[in-house]
Amino acid sequence: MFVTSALLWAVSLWLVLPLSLSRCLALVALAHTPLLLGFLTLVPHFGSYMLHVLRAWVLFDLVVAVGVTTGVPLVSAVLSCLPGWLLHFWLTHLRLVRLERLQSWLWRKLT
Amino acid sequence: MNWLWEHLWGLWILFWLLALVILLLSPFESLGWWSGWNRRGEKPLDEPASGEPREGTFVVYLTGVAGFSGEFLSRRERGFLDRLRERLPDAVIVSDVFPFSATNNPLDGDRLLRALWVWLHHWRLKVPNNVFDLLIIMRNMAQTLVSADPRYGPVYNRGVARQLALALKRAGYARGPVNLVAYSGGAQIAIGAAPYLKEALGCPLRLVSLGGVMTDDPGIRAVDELVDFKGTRDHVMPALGWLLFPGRWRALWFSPWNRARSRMRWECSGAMAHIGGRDYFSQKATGPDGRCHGDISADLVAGVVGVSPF
Repeated sequence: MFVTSALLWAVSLWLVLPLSLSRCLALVALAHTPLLLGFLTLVPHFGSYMLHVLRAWVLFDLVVAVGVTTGVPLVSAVLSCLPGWLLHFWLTHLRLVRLERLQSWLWRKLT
Repeated sequence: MNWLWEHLWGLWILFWLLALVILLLSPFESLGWWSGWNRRGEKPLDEPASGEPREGTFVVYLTGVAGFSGEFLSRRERGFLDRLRERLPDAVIVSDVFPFSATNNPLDGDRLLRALWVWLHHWRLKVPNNVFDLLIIMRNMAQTLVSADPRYGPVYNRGVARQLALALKRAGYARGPVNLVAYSGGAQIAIGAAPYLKEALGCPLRLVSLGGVMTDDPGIRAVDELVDFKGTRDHVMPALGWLLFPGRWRALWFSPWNRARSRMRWECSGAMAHIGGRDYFSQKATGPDGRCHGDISADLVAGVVGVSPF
């Protein structure tokens, strides 16, 4: 789920920016570096907030990366990153799409 | 002293690293119980009461974050419970549940760091309030956070509720209201365990807290009455729950805590502090009428618990 939504984020960037898909994938992957601290989300209570902080950090990183790579102004960088981030957030956090069922079904079939 | 100043930053970093390790490891005890790793010889909950079944007033005391086990309570807490027994002679008072373990496993029980906790406890008995005491408090505070966490809390609180139900049955509980008397962090554990305890025993629940540290745990929905006694010198600890858990803020009117406000009561217990010589159980510090703090607290709690039904 997470990887899928991150890939979609890269695709959404590729659609709006004059960059190659591989470059967009690299930018999204690089922006996710703060998630190396993801183990902190295991901390009771504070971990739930830490997850939001890390996600905001990822968005910030991508905005900066897009700005530096393409030279577009800040507002344009934010606007190009935001739709993908919202999709990413929607898929992984709000869980409005019940992909867990598909995952469970796939797991049952494969194991 | 120079050495201390030179290494202050190092000690500060070491303290936070230690806190992080304790926090990261804290959910594993309850998760291990839930997964069945350390579920050996557990009694079924529906086992009949071992003593003679009785009705009446049942009080369960839950200690604060400095607690060590269900069996061991500090002298001041034991004094408070003795005073409570004098005031409520017909009530059954249960105090052998350690609220900071989902399995009622004391710190000197069957656990990996048993030797460390026992060593720290011996130090504490020799030199009260020494710096190593902080480790036991940090460990128990981490368990309080586990109880309040929406991810781990349901598992932890179910375990504690199970232990509370078993302790009540050992004491002969048949039916009737249950009064949870909690000090400090024990209040959060009581709130967390409330829905599961209610489910297990089908009883009305009252929580009487002394300087209670409470979070915005949705378990508050299962508490039929909450009476929180707070001393005028007890500023920091009870405020922590309010500060760290936004669901306690009035602005979030839809939170379980704010929706349960009609069942809550806050009362001043006098010039009492959270810890130290002027705490809620002190036998030396006195109020304006000459009664010691332990007596005042026992009177207040008995005044609430003695009024049944609620």
